[in-house]
Amino acid sequence: MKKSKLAPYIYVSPAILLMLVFTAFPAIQSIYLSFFNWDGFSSKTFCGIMNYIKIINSDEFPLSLKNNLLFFLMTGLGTIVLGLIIALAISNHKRVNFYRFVFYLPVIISTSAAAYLWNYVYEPNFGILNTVLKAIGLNSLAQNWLGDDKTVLASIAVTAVWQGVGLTILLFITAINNIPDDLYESAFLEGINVFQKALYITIPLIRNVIVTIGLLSLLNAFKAFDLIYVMTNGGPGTSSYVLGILMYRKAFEGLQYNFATAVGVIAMIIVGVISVIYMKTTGYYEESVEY
Amino acid sequence: MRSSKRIISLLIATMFIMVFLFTGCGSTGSDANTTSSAAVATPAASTQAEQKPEEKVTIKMWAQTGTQEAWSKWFKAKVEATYPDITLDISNAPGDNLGIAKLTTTLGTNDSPDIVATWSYVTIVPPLAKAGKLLDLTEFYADNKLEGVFPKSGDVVKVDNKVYIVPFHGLTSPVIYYNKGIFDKLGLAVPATEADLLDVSDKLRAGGYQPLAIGLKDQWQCSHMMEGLIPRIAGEDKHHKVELGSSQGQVADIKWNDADMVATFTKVKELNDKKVFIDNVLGVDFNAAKAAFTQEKAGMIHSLSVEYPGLKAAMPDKEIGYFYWPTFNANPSKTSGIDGDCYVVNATTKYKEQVYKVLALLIGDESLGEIAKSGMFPSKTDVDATKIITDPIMQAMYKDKADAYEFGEALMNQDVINARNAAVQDVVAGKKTPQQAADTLEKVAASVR
Repeated sequence: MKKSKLAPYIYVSPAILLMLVFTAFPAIQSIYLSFFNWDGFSSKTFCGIMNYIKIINSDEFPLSLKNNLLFFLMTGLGTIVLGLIIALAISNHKRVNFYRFVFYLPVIISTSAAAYLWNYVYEPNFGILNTVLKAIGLNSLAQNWLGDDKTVLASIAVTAVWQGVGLTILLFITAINNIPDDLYESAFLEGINVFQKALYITIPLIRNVIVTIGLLSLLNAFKAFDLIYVMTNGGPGTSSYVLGILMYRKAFEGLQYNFATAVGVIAMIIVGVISVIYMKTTGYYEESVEY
Repeated sequence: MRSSKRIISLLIATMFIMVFLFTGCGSTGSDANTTSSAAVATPAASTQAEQKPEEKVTIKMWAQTGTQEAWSKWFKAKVEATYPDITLDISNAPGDNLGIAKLTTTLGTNDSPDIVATWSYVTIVPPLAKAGKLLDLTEFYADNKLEGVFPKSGDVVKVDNKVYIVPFHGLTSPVIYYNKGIFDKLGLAVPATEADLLDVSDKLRAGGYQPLAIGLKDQWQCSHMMEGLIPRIAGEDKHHKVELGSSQGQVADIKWNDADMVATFTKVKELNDKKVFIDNVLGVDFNAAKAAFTQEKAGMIHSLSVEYPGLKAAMPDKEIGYFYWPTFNANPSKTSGIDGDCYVVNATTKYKEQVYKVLALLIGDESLGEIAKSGMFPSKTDVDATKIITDPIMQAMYKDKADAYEFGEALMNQDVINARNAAVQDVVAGKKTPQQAADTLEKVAASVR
């Protein structure tokens, strides 16, 4: 029976059309709007690259970009390292399904709810964290977690890792379970220990998953908004200002949609460039190991 | 095979219909986008819809039902009892900047309300008015003698000498509530001067209490604190001028790095250094500050008149007193806040006559008295709500507003408000000196002007 050559295209076309309407078209429109002055409802006036010049000359943009990069490093490393350690620890456990459920629970909580919850944990005078630290005699470790510019971004990153690590663990466990057992058997016969097993067999064989999670962390870090908005609103001062907060404030508080869209365009370019560099340096496109 | 072809054809047809539907969604009222921005756009013709005598008209209204729950219910009943031909559909408008986002994205759609509560005057009202989104209320303003209700800021909000707002209520802010039981236990008197405040704070700490619970993690608390301190340190006139000069097109007679503004930031730093504020104040939000006060861990709390019923409900057996920021530079200690929330009308409303009736009731003495019961005192200064307000503390605060500092944050561009709040936090954190904070703030204000 002849297969229609058009059939595959027809079947994917609804998804492509939805993507065009809800992703590509808004992105193209944002690029277009970034060359105009516009408050969101009046007529637009063309201003060329003035918005981009304003952004480059502003204090907020480089600060926000720096915070986004720091946030990526913290959440990316945190999610991968913690997720990997937990996945390695529980992947062969008889209660792995129970642990997977427990670790996945924070993932299904809404980000706003998680932010409110951790606001109470981090409350410096009566919150759970400092209360416990003081109770066990570690007063010097009790900090003004969300009120000190030295600790605020890391504190928010901990919340993000807590919420996101469940998904990472799931992915790692799936990847680990796909590794054939005979690889481990031959290695054990040669006398390797658990640590060497993880370092020389498991991690190299799930490298692609690690790289993918790193890429997702990068994208999530640059999309970060709701967690930071609820926890600190970019404060104290501008210590936890990120691009999402900057765009929100400019668009919806200052009615400077032009500035906000230009920030979005620059962020899109930066993330694109970083993603390409990341994928090339981590060998994302290399063929995966075949067993 | 034929049936699969039919299915595929149906699928393709459905996709195209969906695409057309999605791209056709949203604003059909995009007339304002094609008007020239050089002149005030003529609002889209809001012709009075024809109405048969027996037909009921539904007026959609966004009020701040979160904080005005009781008043909203009362007002709906009042309107519908007074005008049986009107059904008032009140829903919630967020009181913060989410409300601005909601307002701007909704106006111009087919589902936008007729009457909307808002507050951020200069950032939101003039651009909306110039884009033809708001109904000209000059006639209503004049007929109801609203001129002078906002004595210092009314002119700023006008666009080409036309009025687009109906002033509703202000907030007497800031208020400092104190726990009378704790004060009596420690033998403390209500502070009248800065020295008194420092003395009270020291004694509260010595007694094992936090002095002033203030949620400086929340930027609006930074705002309210500055609205209390600036007039006391710089004087009322400079306060008004510096805020007036903080929006587009304004001339700055007083700049944010004026010596008295720097002195205000210095005072904030001093209050923190002398431990007047609750510990770790930048990590404490308003809810945490409230918890500290209601659980009697703090002797005082920086708050608003509207919060009094909630505090009282949380501490039913305790006596709560209040005072305002004491004198600093011999400028009097008195309440703040005349400018506040207002209402605007959608230019495309089909029921202008009915909207005017609702607005007239809205700003009538009865309505303003009812809203005053919740601690949101009317902007109109000639309303006597003392007979309607039953709580003695609330009555006293209401009487205080006869002589108040004018609260002018609504005159400021939102970027400047945000920068001022960030500057307060930076000064308290020690990240910037008061001079540096003032200079940064002035840089933002200059870029806005």
